[in-house]
Amino acid sequence: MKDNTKNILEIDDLHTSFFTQAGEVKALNGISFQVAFGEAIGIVGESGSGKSVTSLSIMRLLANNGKVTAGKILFEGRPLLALDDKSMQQIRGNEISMIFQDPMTCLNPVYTIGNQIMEPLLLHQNLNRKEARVKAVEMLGLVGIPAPEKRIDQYPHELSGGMRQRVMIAMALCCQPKLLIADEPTTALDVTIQAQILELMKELKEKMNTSIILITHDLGVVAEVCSRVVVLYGGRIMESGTSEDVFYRPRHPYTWGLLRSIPRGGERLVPIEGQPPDLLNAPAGCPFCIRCEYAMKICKEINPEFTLLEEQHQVACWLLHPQAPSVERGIN
Amino acid sequence: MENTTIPSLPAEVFVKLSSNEKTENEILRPSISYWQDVWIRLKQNKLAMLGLYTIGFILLLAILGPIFSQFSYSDQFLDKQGLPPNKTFWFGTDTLGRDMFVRVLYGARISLAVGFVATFINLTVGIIYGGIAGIIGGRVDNIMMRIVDVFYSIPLMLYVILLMVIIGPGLKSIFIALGLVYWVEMARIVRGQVLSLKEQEFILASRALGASTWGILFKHLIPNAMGPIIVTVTNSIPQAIFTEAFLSFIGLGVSAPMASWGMLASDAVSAIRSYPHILFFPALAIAITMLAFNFLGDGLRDALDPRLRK
Amino acid sequence: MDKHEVLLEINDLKKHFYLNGDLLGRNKSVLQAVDGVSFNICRGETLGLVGESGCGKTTIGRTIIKLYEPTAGQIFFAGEDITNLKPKAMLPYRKRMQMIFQDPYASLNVRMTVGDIIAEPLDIHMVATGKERQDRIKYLLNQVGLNSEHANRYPHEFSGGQRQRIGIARALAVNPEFIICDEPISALDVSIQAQVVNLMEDLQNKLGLTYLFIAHDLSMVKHISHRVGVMYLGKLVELGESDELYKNPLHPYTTALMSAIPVPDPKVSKNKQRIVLEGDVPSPINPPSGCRFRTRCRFAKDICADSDPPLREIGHKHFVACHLVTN
Repeated sequence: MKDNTKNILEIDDLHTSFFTQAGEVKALNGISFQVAFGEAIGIVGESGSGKSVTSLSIMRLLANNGKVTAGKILFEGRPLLALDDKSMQQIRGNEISMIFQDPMTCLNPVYTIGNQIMEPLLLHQNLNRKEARVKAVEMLGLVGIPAPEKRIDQYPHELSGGMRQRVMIAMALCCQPKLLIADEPTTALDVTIQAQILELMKELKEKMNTSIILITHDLGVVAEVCSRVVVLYGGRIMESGTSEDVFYRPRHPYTWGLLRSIPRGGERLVPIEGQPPDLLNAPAGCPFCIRCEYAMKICKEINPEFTLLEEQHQVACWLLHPQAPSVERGIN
Repeated sequence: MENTTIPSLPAEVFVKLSSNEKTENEILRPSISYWQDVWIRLKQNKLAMLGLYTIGFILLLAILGPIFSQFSYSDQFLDKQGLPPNKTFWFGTDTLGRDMFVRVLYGARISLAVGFVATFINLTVGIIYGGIAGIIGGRVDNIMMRIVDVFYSIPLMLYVILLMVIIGPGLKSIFIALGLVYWVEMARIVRGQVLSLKEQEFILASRALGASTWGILFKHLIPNAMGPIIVTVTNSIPQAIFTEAFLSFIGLGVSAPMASWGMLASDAVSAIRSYPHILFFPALAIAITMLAFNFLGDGLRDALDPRLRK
Repeated sequence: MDKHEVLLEINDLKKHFYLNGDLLGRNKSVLQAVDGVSFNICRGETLGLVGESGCGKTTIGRTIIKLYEPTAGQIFFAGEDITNLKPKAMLPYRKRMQMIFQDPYASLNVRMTVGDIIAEPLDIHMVATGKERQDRIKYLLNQVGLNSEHANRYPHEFSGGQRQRIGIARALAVNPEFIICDEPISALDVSIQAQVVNLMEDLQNKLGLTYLFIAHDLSMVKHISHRVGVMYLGKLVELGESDELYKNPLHPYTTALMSAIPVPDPKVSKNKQRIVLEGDVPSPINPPSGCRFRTRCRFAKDICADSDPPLREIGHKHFVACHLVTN
């Protein structure tokens, strides 16, 4: 699993904080995971989990008061955090691309979509305008926009939400990046459009052999697209493994809680009590401790280490310590 | 990450936590209202606070200064004309031997009075006019705003000059003239705010609860629009002061011996070559006051903007 | 459902918006947000309403509660015709029907304390003052699972889920019978959604509430609703009991919608036969003639372009608006 030659991205003990008026907000508190070539990995979490901050840390697009305070990010073996701005600019849009949640605000309303797709092409691929335009039309066709030669001169407001998201995908993929980070790409879209976009992403992943990091709070989306899943809470990884591991053999109380919160059958939902984590006053131990129905004394004091279950399945929970009491998953 | 040797831990650490124990270290932050938060943010802006203190200082001087001064603004010392600043006359004397310091302080009273009163009138008329236009909308709003547009089609200063010519000079006339004209700016701001807030969900919620239109305007819309209103107020005050100064400068202001800063400046122009200090101090006073209000206004705008909250 | 008394009935309800038009206000384009929808809700029941952007579900909620004036059709509340009532005459009805909104950050006035927000309906309808008002605020806060000491705090100090509870408390203040829930959980985290849904179910059982639950999360709607209606471009295309509708969808749009829901189960997801609809939703300003879904329907025939299919009962309490679905 940690074989360097198979991993396009390796994150090692990453810590990211935001320094605000009220104090230091520890958005990421030591996360580590790897993405293999051609793999789609899902990062699942809710508010305050740190999932978006992860992607911004990788792309080095944190706001002014945000900083990676510790850890390493290796892209194809290269340490990203050590690069200067200029080198990072070469990578963004070119080798690592990102698409965001709201296609309405992520496209510049005063430029045609053609111009916006050509921008990365002109920047990174040394094409002239004519060549770039041809490539842009090709990309629009690839992402399923009908009549691309006409659409290329339209403005974002003339397109629907689904089409705008396709344009974003075209922009992200036009330089054939090796890694695509998709931050809640379908959250703002209707369900039928979401289905289209997810199909598109799966198709393009096969065609271009791009690795994908899909960040979402929707477990259904993760099950559909990703082969591996990382579950984040309060800036730490709770559980990670293959899709089957996490959905069929989860061992962390938070994962249990999430799966029980989704309607299945007609039974009453079993929510996770409590509120999202307060990152300003993060507890010393496990961030989920306050909301966990199995929390023990040690959970409050010391952050649990990872226990390796199956080949790729690891869980950070004191319940897996040999001395811990065995628990029945779920109550009732 | 392999579990080869797991240290053995004391058994009691695996005891389940009660819900009290889980939450006992939760810190409840003190409740701060919106305005307290604004004040905290404003305090961090050094320039804005400098402006605030300056205004406070000038106000204090304007109210108390002349009381403690040994001279009154009309006392003339014909043997001491045109003296530069010295120990007795801190700002020197003017061409009629009057103490410049006391005259500038009196000028402050008049100029600041004009600034505050005129702005207060603008505020009241503007909020009512803009609020009504915004909340009723439709044709009423259309007509009301076209009237405002007509006002704006000619520089507002021109209206004031015309009014002053018609009504005649004097302090009360200045209040009326400024009050009749500059409310249009506030009206536009308030209407804009009301329009944008009208469609927010909390307004819809109030309507669904059965709140009346006027209730919504005064209980929800105006309070939420206070931010831009306050910023406009802090920018209107220097505008009014300057307008009054200009009117006095061209001879339409208050009558002698009452002296606003503009009058002082006007009187001083003829003597500018021989006694430049007579123009310098009133002009400096105007400049400092306007700068102070502008810094404060900028600081307030930033402090009131929710997006800039860190 | 204890009683079968019809609490809310809408009959061929239409809401059109007029846009643009030239300088003199002529030639305006018409946005047919809701174009002839009829259904009824019995006391104690939850009717779910689903659909995608532009289907009109939010508009219909706001029209029923008279935030928008209906263009045509009728609204009956407890048998009384409220369609054309003026705001003053509507006031007593506003005690009986309330609304919960989607955005927990925009639906509360951030300048007011939580206590004042919850008590606003009490103040408007002059139901309680002084100590009685304070007591009622405390009671409502407890009822929605919040600490009564929070009454003096401001909305920005609470999380999204807590703010939504405050909105619910406000809606409950004057003891309504009917609550329209306009996407009440869409903006919340998954683990918090379950909390709020459970709260709403508990309140329904305790207080005998009737809900119109408008949402786009199909699984959640199925969970909380007794019956579900599916809307497309201003029309109701299918209506039936929850289980039946999800097990046996009849309208081609409903089938596509059901199959598009991503299932949180990797094996099922991989083997699922997904019907992916082509194209985008047409504009509600210029909807297709006849059946509005025909431009994306893989079964469309000529008759679909000619006439608009009526809502007909096909199975037991199962209504479908499609020419091609017969008993």
